[in-house]
This record gives sequence, C-alpha cells and structure tokens, in this order.
Amino acid sequence: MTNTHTLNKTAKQKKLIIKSIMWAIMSLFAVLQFFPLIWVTNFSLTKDSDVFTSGILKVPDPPEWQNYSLAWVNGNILKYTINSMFVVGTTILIVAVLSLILGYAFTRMKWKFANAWLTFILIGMMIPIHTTLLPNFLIFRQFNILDTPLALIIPYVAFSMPLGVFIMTGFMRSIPRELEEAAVMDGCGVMRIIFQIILPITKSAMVTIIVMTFINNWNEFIMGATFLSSVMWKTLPFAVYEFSSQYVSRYSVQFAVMVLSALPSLIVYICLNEQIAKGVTFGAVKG
Amino acid sequence: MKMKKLLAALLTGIMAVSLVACGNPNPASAGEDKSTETTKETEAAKTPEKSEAVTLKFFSNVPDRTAGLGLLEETNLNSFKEANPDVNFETEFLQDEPYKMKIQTYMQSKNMPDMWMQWGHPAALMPVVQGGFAAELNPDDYKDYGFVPGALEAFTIDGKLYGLPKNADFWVLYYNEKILNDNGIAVPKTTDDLIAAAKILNAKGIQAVSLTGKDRWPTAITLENLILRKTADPKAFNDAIKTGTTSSNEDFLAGVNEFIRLVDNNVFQPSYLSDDYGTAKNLFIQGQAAMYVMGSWEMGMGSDETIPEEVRKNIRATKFPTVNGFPGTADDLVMWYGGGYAVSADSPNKEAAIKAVSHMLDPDIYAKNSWQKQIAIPPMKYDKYLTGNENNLQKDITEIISSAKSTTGATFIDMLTASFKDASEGLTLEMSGKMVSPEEYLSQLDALVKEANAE
Amino acid sequence: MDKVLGNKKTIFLLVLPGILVMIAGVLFPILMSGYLSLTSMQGGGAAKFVGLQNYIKIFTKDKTFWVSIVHAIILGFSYMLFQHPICMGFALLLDKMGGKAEKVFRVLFFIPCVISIMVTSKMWVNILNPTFGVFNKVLTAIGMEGLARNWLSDPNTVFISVLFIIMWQGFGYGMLIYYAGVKGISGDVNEACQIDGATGFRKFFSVTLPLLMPVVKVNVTLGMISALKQMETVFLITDGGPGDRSQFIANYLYQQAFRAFKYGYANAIAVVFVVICLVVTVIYNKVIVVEDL
Repeated sequence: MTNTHTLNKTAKQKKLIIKSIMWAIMSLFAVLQFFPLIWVTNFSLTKDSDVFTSGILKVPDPPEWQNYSLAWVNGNILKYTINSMFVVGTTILIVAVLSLILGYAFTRMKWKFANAWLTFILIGMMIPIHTTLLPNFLIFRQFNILDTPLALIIPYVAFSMPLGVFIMTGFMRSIPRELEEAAVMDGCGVMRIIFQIILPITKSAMVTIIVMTFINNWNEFIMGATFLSSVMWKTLPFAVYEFSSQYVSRYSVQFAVMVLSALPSLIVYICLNEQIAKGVTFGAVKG
Repeated sequence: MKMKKLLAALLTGIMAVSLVACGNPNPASAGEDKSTETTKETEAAKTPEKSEAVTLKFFSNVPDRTAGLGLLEETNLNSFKEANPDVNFETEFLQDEPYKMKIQTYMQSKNMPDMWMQWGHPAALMPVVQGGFAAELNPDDYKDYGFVPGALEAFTIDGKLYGLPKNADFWVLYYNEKILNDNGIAVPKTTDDLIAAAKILNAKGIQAVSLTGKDRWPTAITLENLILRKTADPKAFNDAIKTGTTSSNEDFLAGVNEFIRLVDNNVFQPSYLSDDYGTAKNLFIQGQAAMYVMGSWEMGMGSDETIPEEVRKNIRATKFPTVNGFPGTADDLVMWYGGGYAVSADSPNKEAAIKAVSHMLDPDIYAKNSWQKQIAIPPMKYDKYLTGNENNLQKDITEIISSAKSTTGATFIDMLTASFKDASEGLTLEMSGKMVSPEEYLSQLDALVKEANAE
Repeated sequence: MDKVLGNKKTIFLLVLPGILVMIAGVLFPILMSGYLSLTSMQGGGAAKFVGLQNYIKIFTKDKTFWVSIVHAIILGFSYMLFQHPICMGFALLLDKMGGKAEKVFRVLFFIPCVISIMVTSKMWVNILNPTFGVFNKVLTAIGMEGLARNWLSDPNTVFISVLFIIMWQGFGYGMLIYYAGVKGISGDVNEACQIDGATGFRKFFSVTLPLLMPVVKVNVTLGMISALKQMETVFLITDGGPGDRSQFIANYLYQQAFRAFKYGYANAIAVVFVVICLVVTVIYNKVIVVEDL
C-alpha cells in the first residue's frame, strides 16, 4: 500500500515538473513573440529621448497622450485604414469568388485541359509579385489606372488567387458528390449549385482563403509606394513609412502611429481568433 | 456567433456579385468597373474644368512641413498663393531615399508633377534632361536674383537652364557644445582631436560622431572630405574620379586609410552602417552623440522646436577637421548646389508653374525667409537680410562658408551616372564595413568609373 | 449529371474570369518584362535593343544577383531546419496544454503575423541597435556581454540577424498550420498509440510525424515560396546591406530599377528570377511530391 502510494506521489511530482517546464518554455516564447508590441506601446507613451534609456522598458511618467492625438491627426490613420480596408476587402471578395468558381470548375466539371489550366494558375503561386512591378507600371500608365485602387487590386488578386485555388481544389476533392447529384436532378444550374450548395460546405476553406489573402496583402507596401501617390488612396503600411520620415525626430509619435496602425488587424484577429484557427486548420490539412 | 454574422454579410456580398455575374460572365470585371467609376468621379472632383483655378502638383523631398526646409517651402508657397489666389498646390512629400525612387517611377511613367525638387548634380539632372522632362528656363529672368557664381551653372546643361538652385550645401561637423564642455573637450580641429574625444566620450557611454550608413551617401561624402584633406586641390580630386585613376593616386589611398582609422577608433557610433538618416540625427538631437557630420541644410536644428531645448540651444557647427600631416586646410570645402526646383516640360500649366518657382526663389522671399527663419543657406547674396539676431549655429555656418578658399562642386558619387552613384555608394559601404580593402576599393571604384563612362 | 457538368459553355464562362486575371496580372507583365529585358532602357531615356547583353551580364558578372539567390536558398533551408521543427514542437506542446491556456498562448504566438511588417521591422531595428537597443542590454544583464554585437551592421552577423527576424515574423503562421494539423490527427494518434502502446518519442516518430506529413509538405511549400519572395523585411531593415551581405533578389531588383535606374537590366533580373522560381518548383515537385500541385 505504502509503496504504490509513494509511486503515485513521485509520478505526480514528475508530471508537475514536466508541466512547469512546459509552462516556462511556452511563456518564454510567448514573451519573445509579444514583447515587441509591449515595447512599442511603452515608448509610444514616453518622451522622445526615453528610447535611449539604460533600462529595457520605462514607466511613462506621466504618459504623453498627446503623442497619440498628434499621430491620429497628422498620421491620417483613419483615412489610410479605410483605404487599406477598401483595397484589401475588394481583393478578398474577388479572390474568394474566383477561387470558389475555379475550384468547382477544376474538380467537378469534366473537360479536356482542366489539368493544364490548373497548373497554369497554380504556377502563379511560385511567381514573386515583385517581378511584375516594373512592367505593371508601364501597363497601368497606358490604361490610366496609376494612382487608383485598381493598380493595387489587379496585382493583389492575380497573386492571391492561385493560393486560393490551391486551397479550394484540395478541399473540394474531399466533398462527396452525392449532394450535387440531387441538385442536378432537380434541374439546378451550375451557378446555383456553386453558391447554394457548395459554398456553405466550403466555409472553412473560405475562411482560410480570406485569412491568407488578408495577411498577404494587408502589409504589402512596395506596390502601394510605387503605384499610388495621392493621399486619396494611399494605404496604411505606406502611411506609416511616410510618417516615420516626416517625424524623424519624434520617436514616440512614430511609435504611436505604429500602435494605431497595428490596432485594426489586431482587433480583427483577437475577435475572430477561434474561427481563424479552425479555418486555417481545415485548409491546411485538406490542402 | 460574431463569425456567423460576418460570414452572412460576406455571403450576401458574394451573392450580390454572383447575381450580377449571371448577366455578366465576368464577375471580376463587375467589381472592377465599379471602382473605376469611383476613381473617375474623384478625378473629376480634383480638377474642376470650368473654373479657371489651377492646381499645381508639387513634389518635395522634405516631409516635415512644420519646421526647417519644409516650413520654408510652405511659407513660400503660401506667399505665392496670396498673390495668385486662383492657383492651388497639391504637395506630395517623401524623404530623400523614397523620394528618389518615386521620382524615378514618375519619369518611367512620363507622369511628372508640375513642379518638383530637383537635385543639380549630373547623376540626377541628366536623366531628367535627357528624357525631356524638365522645362527650359530663361536665365535672363534670374539676372537680378543675385545667385552666387556656379549656382545656376549647376542646373545648366549644354547652355540651357533646367532648374533653379535653392540650397548651397556643404559638409560640416555639428557639435553639442555642452557635452564637449562637460567633458573638457575642445572643439575638434583635427582627426586626432576626434579620436582623442572619442576615447573620453565612449568611456562615458556617449557616442562621439553620429553618422548614417544606411542612407549611404553621407558616409561617401565624409570619405570625400578626408581624401580632399590629402589632395588639397578639388580639381585634382575631381579629375582622378572622372578619369578613373584613383587607384594609382597615393592621395586617395591615404584618405581612405584615414577614414578607416576613424572607424577603428570608434569615432562613429558602432551601428553607423545600419543606422538611417533619422536614427543618426536622433542620436545627436537627443543628446546621445556629441557630434554629427551632415550637410549645412541641417542648420534649422537650431530653431527646431521639436528638439529638446537643452540640446537645441547648444548645437554649434565647425569646419570639417583637418588631418595632421595632410596639406589640405579646413577651408577646402566640400560644397555643391544640391537641391533646386524644376518644372515639367509637359505640364498643362507650365507657365503658372514657372511663375511659382520663380516666385518661391525670389530673393526677397527665399533668401530672406530662409535666413531669417534660420533654416538654410540660400545660394544667393543674402547679406542685406542679416538681422543681427542670428543664433550661434547660423553664425557658425556663415563663418564656414565665408572663409572657404576652395569648393568642390558635385560630390564624387554624384559626378557621373545614377548607376555609378548606386554602385559607388554600395562599394563605399563595403569598404567601411571592411568587406573590401582600401586598395581593392579604389581599383573597383575605377572600374565603376570606366563602366559609367562607357554608358 | 454529365451533361450539366460537361457543358462546354458553362465551363468556359466559369474558368474565363480566372484565366483572364492570370493573363492580365501575371503572364502579360512577365512577357513585357521579357521584352524590356532585351533593351538598355534607362531612367527616362529611350529604350535601345541590346539583345541578350543584360542576361550575359547577370550570368557572367553580377555577383550580387547570385549572392541573393544563395541567401534565398539558405533562408528556405533555415525554415526547414529551424523554424519548422520549433513550430511543430510548439504546436504539439500547445495541443497538450489544453483549456484556457491553450487559447491564450495561441493568440500570443500568432500576433506578430497580423502586425504590419513596417512595425515589427522598426521594432527589431531598435531592439538590435548596439547603442541603445534592448537586445545587447539583455545579454549584458544575463552576463553574456561577450556576445553583444552590432547585429545589423557587422557583415558577419547581419545575415543571421535578418534570418532570425524573418523567421520570427513567420513563426506564428507556421505554428498555427502545424497546430491545425495536430488537432486534425489527435484522434487517430491516440487510437494508434493505444493499439501500439507507444509513448514519448516513439509515439512522435512512429505515429504523430507520419500522420503530420501532409501538413509538413504544405508548410515546406509555403516556406520555400516565401523564402524566394522575401522583400519587405529586408527592404526595411538593412536594404540588403552592408554591401550585399543581406541582399535578396526582389530587393535587388527594386534597387536596380529605382535607384540605379537600370530599367532594362532590372527586367532581365525579373525574368531570370521567374525562371529560377519555376525551376525550383519542378525540382521540388520531383523530390517532395505535393499531391495537388
């Protein structure tokens, strides 16, 4: 009796130790991941010169809230966030619809060159968006769409769609065909099958596509910097870039702009975190 | 639950598009058409055609519009607007490096703004002139502007004037008087002084001289200063570069080695190779570095309210140090006419734009404002605008320029083509990071010159 | 059924928009690049036809180009050797934790992915700054002063530092996908282990890893692609310098076009770049077969 008891106890202790080690490692990594955000928030509230402190962080005393008001007003954050949302939102919508339709056509419909065309589209995944920067500049000038959102949406869509099709075709292959058979019997058209029957089932793949398209394009700024010039359409990342050169000597204000610009995606992420995790799960495993 | 709502909204959107798609086989174009329309609307809103008001697009390399050169530009633009109420300006601004890239994209797209900041050195001016982008200006219009000799010439190619200079730029050593005094350091006159100062300052955790290497040209210009101390003669220096004979020139090797000696003795902050313009400037204006090598255009620091007062009122400037054993004096100045304004040759409002730049550089406006607002050294006579209330920094800068005995003109990186500038700047950084030896540096530099001359 | 799903007109209408997007957004620009790469187009000046001169220069004289390629390959392998095992390890740990802790850590790990690269780059530049950055301060604080360096300006450490930042940036994303995979197979794993009686490392190598293989392939594919495409982080942190010690192709291409004004040459780089990406895809497909590609 006593023997088993001690055995249980040591086993328990061992488990506890393993668990604490696990916690320690996880926490350490979490700090490494999270620290920069703390850091930038911290120094967005201090004086400009506090960045050079000998400590790691510095308690803002008192917090310099005016950094934020300056950043909000002069950084034009609201305007640029809306621009970014418009551009990325439109991109996501087009990519989602095209991936769905193409995914269906490639996995369900029967036609001769399906594989060749699918390869043609998927190869787009391997081509870096930046290689089209120079020619697109001349092309967009010809069509007079420089300095309009179209100049960003076209390349964003073209380079996000292949990944979307990749995820969608992978996903659709796992859907049983019985569902549509019934629909076809009922005389449904292809469009109705896609949007009424297939779309609801592909929800998780859709979420994956939306998340990936968002992440890939939300931060993009080389295209933005090259194709846009007026305040009218400039997107958020480029605005931060521009602002940090405008307020060269105002470190704290720069940091405040960074915090403000990080907020939209952070909020979206924290609110949707569960769905994003699930969505990416499905897409990744099936894709 | 939230997700459900979001998805529902999204689905409605997709459905809407798909409904359109029923009639139109191309859903993508349906979405695109819509945004094209909005664009057209906004463009129409931007340039009302019926009224006679003119909007001039102006592209500037000074992003901070509330102090220094940016404030000066705004003031002068406003002064023009007051005199010409039907003219409006739409100003776009970016800092140097992004500015250079952006103006390049405008050139590629033949889509120049009506007026823009134009550098006068060949590497920047030649492509603009060759491409036919810059409008020709009439030099006779500027006879009474009092431009100093050489200023207009910097913007003249084949006898034709393509821009108006706005800055006389030269290389100086800014210093924080209080930090030097507190540490018992006299204002450095020689590079040996710099090294001695660095020893004392570094021991206290203060950086000696702040320099930027990520924006690469300041490192190259600092190097040019040191080589010039050895060649002493700007013409000899320029000739060696233009003919690509630096590697057979002992003076160049001595200058490069002197630069390396400064690096080895921690005269520059340890991170200078990766610090950009802003970081280097910040080290100085936040009191982390005692000195700062930069062009005279940073004279505005003395009146920039965003700089902490205890630093701002202690900022002074002195001549770039001499080198013991080198013949050059502190009065051999690395100086050039850098920034200026140019007007687009294709602008529908060319006349108005020319009028605007002419007005902005009118001495009664430009020279007066730039000097009295303590912002810049105008490339024109400005003695009649002296007030007697100049701050110390202004006096220092004036003293440096007025005692100059020789000046260089365009810096060596800017003398030839744009690709030479890019490659030679990169090479200079490799040398200062000790990835290539000084000898190797000079022979590669010569090779770059030959390549540029062959173009 | 076949009549509906084999209708040529419907298929044509379904596929057309996507194909058009690819032609307009990818194929046409690349063909145009191909044309421009045969010229000596400079900033503003007229384009002169120079044949294959630009390509000859890339293959015979341009050291930086090849250094950039090697950097991309090293980054790709670093993903596989360092980032992926760490990501997978943490995905497994996370799965083990369960409950609230699991959710909280998952959120924390993914955060760098949703923050703009602009922000994280600026942070790292400041953190690694030898004059006032936190990193060297921490090293000093824990008694490892000897390791303190000029991380981003020392030619010997700049590439490693940049690699680290890029991998840090992608860590959450990679982990999330592995985590997803782990969640997807956890039922199968337990079942198999009960039959086998496998525990610990044996369980991992004989059961978990094989089941995770599809996810590993996806992650490796995505990693390879992003290694080749790397641009923003490098552009913002070092701009490829000092010298070409942290250069990547996309950034080099950008510099050649917009700083050196060598437009024709930059287009030649773009074309070779595309070809290299395609060759990598082919090789990669031969070695690691990804079913859907």
